[in-house]
Amino acid sequence: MERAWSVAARNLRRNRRRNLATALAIAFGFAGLVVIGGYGNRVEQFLRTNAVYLQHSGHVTVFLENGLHKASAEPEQFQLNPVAQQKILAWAAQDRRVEFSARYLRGVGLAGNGCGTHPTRLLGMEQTALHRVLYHREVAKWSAEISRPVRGRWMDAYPELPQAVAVSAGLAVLLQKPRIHDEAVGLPPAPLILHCETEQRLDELGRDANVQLAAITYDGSLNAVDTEMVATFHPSETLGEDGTMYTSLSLLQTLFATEQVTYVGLFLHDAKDAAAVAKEITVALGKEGLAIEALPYDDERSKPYYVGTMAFLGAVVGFITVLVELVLALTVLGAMTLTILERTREIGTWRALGFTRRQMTALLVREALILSLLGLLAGLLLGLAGAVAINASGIRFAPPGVPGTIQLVIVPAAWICAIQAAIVIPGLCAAAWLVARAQVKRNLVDLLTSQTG
Amino acid sequence: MQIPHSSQLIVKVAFRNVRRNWRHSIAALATLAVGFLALALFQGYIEEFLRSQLDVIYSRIMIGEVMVQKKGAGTRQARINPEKYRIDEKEQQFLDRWIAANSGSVKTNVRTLLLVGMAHMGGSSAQMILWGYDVPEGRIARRKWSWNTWAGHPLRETEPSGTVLALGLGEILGCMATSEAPVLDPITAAPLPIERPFQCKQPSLMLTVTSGSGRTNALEAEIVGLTRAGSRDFDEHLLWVPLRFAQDLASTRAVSQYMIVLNQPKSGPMMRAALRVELQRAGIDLEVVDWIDTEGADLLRRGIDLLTVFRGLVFVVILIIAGAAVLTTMMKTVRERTREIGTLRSLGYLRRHILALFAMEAAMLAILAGGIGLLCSVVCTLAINASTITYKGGLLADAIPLRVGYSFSAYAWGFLFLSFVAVVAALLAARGVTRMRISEALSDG
Amino acid sequence: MKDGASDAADTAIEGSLRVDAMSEAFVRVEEVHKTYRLGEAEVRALRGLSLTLHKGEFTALVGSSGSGKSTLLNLVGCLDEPDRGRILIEGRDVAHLSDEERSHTRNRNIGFIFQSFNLVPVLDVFENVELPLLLHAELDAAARRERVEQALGDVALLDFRRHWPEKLSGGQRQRVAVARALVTKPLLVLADEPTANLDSETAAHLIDLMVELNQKRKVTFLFSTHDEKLMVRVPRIVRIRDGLTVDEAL
Repeated sequence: MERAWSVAARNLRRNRRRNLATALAIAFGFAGLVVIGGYGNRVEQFLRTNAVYLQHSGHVTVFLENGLHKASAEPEQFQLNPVAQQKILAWAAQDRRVEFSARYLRGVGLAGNGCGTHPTRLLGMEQTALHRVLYHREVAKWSAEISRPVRGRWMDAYPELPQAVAVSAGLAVLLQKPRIHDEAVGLPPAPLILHCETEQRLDELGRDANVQLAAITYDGSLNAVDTEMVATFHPSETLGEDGTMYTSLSLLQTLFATEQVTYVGLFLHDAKDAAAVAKEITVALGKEGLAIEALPYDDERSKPYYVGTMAFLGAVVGFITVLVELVLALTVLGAMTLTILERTREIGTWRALGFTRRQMTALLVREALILSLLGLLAGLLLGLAGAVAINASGIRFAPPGVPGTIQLVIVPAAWICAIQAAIVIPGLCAAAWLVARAQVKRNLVDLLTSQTG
Repeated sequence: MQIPHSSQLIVKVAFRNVRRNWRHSIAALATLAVGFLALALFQGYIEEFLRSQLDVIYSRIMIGEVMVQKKGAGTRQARINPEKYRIDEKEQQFLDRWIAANSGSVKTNVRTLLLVGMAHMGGSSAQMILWGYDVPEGRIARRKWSWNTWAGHPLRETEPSGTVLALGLGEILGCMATSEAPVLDPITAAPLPIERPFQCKQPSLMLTVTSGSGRTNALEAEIVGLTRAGSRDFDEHLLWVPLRFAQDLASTRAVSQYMIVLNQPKSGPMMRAALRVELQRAGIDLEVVDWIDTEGADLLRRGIDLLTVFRGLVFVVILIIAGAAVLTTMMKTVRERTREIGTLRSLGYLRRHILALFAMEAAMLAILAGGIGLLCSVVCTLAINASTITYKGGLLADAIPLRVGYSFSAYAWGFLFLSFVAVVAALLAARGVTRMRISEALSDG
Repeated sequence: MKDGASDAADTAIEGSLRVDAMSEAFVRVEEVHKTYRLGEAEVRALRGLSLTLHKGEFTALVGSSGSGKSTLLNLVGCLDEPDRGRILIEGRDVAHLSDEERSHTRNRNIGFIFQSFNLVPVLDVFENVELPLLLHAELDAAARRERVEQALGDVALLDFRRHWPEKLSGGQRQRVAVARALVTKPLLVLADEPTANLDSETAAHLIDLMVELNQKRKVTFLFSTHDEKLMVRVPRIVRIRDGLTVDEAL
């Protein structure tokens, strides 16, 4: 039918108030979806950045086979020795999908201040990797707040201090160490023997940033090193706040008297390659006689919190999308019903002039499509404006599992909006088609003599 | 007070119009009903989630309706000087007397002592949070969770140095459950009382804690069972021992908390208030709290807050859309009855009578839709609860069954809000025509 | 019922006698102007029309479509306001009252009969006639019932009181409208082309009914029509053209 689109558009102008109400409903509904999708996108990116970068795991975490579960209990048997490390690093170096790789050693020890000790989780990492991870563009974009140290600078800023460590903020409080290295420079040194039982203790502990670290080596000996606290930070897990320390890899290997590492983290250019990289490295190194366990970041065994949260969030956002879609479809159904009822005689007239049922249905569906597209466009703009307003408001909230609060940020993603539009538009057109088809199928004489319009 | 005749007419005409023309409003009815359904299901889910989580948490970690601890016990200062933040023996005697005096209301009382330290097994070490508690009283407080182990058996009075490890902590140290058999009762969702096998590198482990004064104590404990701690974070840190063992380890007879479980949980606020008064009278500096208000409930509160925000957003969006649907329908209705409106005005009826008429019709429509929505939500709730869908929620260690509760507050608010939206939409739709010239309205159509 | 011309003459004489006997003005329309906007165009419906009605008169407004009949009825019936001029009912200027005052005046003093009957479809015959009485707080249900039954009796529809409007013929519906117009015992009844949707026989019967009620109840009637055949039944005819009265005949 010639000029079908222009006829459809002109028909929309005939009942402006109702069409405006319908378009506004579609706009609000889609705006809501844009905001929810933007929140989901932001959360996903934030959690992924945390899981990959801030938990220092990489997109693919490579353990010795069974190392994920047994490396803590039996480190000597289930951690990666230097030969294994070299093989993994060599494979990673030749794969273009790998941006960089890094070695990590995990352990548990006691952090002491000379008066008391607190158990702490330890993570030793290569300084170059630390820098690349914490200053990565993804981290800057999605997790800048919690990637920055609370006080001080990360260890890589102190190449002259091999004993530099970063201490979780809560642990620093427990150790009663109010000053980091830079703040303690120039202060009179604390006495060799501290007055732990007296109030003088606080002043003496505060004069330096020295933290003693003690641990049991793999062969059962007790070992200890002196460290210097150069930064405090919030770790990404809540329970880690009172007992986490980052050290250099060499320092931790010295403490545990080992050359092993717990895992190697592979950081990729594109997160979508994680599963493929994990599979390929496992096969490739298996052929070289090295049995490994390579886990992509979205594997529940490696990152149960991330996977569990994303599944839950996906279900909630999906449920909301379906609900809003249903309500929008019903709204369009209602509006089209009214429109078509009012134009029954007109439809009869068109049919009498020779237009087929299909052409009439298509005309009416076109009207619904134009209305939906206008509504969607308005909704997109409204949603984007809403996102800008929310982001500018600086609202903070406390999501589960994250220490303290983070700013509520909505980041609409084009692909999410496209998917939502791809769900909404056919639904609205289908609603219009149902109504149009039912009316157009009626007997011509009935249409022409109808009392309703 | 007699209702004016005109008001009776308005109700009568509104009702008859809705009854006559409901088919024309099907889409608006459906939209409102779906809005009601969404609110009811969402709120029902949140309420049931909170109820079931509290039920599990209260049982699993033996929380009583009356929780007594030292002021500031949850703070970091308490971690630095734990001794200063414990309930000493004198204070315990006072509490024991109070409990005895209220024995008719108290089901049981569980004393706990929380310590932070290290657990060592062979060459492995791990941070630990040690939870010492009164074993027989704890069994009563746990109710259907009295058998609270996934492998091995729960603590017994006959094993004074027994310990139950959280599965995550056990894994770190070298202990694993070796049976694949189902653990949870499908109806109660609590562990079945079966002793499942497990194996460890060594049968016992060394536990060390350091006091505030820097002294380190160590004791050996025998591993008798493995369990889940409920959240992933705690699963890698927690272990349980008898209270006396914990006290020996910390060289103290003090305790961290009293968990008083009542026969009538609803009397919690009253009992807490009563105990506060008694403590104040005795000059004892202890705080009496409800667990849900403590730092320990932070994770749960945050989860509920997040879900509530989602619910609010969904609700607002759906209300706006539903309002637009009703507006569209009412605009048509008003348009069709313009002449009728003119007639009523010509007979002396005022603008407010006309507005009231349409508002009444819209409210009736909303109530009808609410009734449909209520029926659908009850059916959906039954269907969901009868299904065996489970899901894992982020920090929760175990999969939990998908359940929706019957939220009477949601039903009431649903009726209220939908009626409000419908009335506002109707007033907007009818406002214009009531301002029309009567002669114009009469000659319409 | 008498035939045509002799009927008209008799009626005209009776009408003129009545006018002589009750010469006080009941409704006075003085130099009334009314203009409507229809899109871009302006339509001057009344251009300084003046008219006097006496109590108990039965007057027909005759004119072609667009002459201003309906506009005049709307203004006299307080359904609209004139741009200029006065409308006095029993000496009171109703042209510029507030909306509430005009509503009260319509409810208490004026009855309407419309071309399309304008019955409320969800109310039965009894309820439709009772409709204006519901605003009379001083009447209880028994008093209202008595009045409604009297009004329905006057139009011979008492047996139809529980029927729905959609089940009635055009003539019956219009008689219900007449009953509704009279149930409040108004001073003035206005009818805008009440016979337009009726066949000629029914239309004639309706006019006869209205004349009978006019004589029985002494209510002033003003109705519009363009049907010349009905003129013979009417004591006074006022012709309107282009918004002004051009002729009067008794």
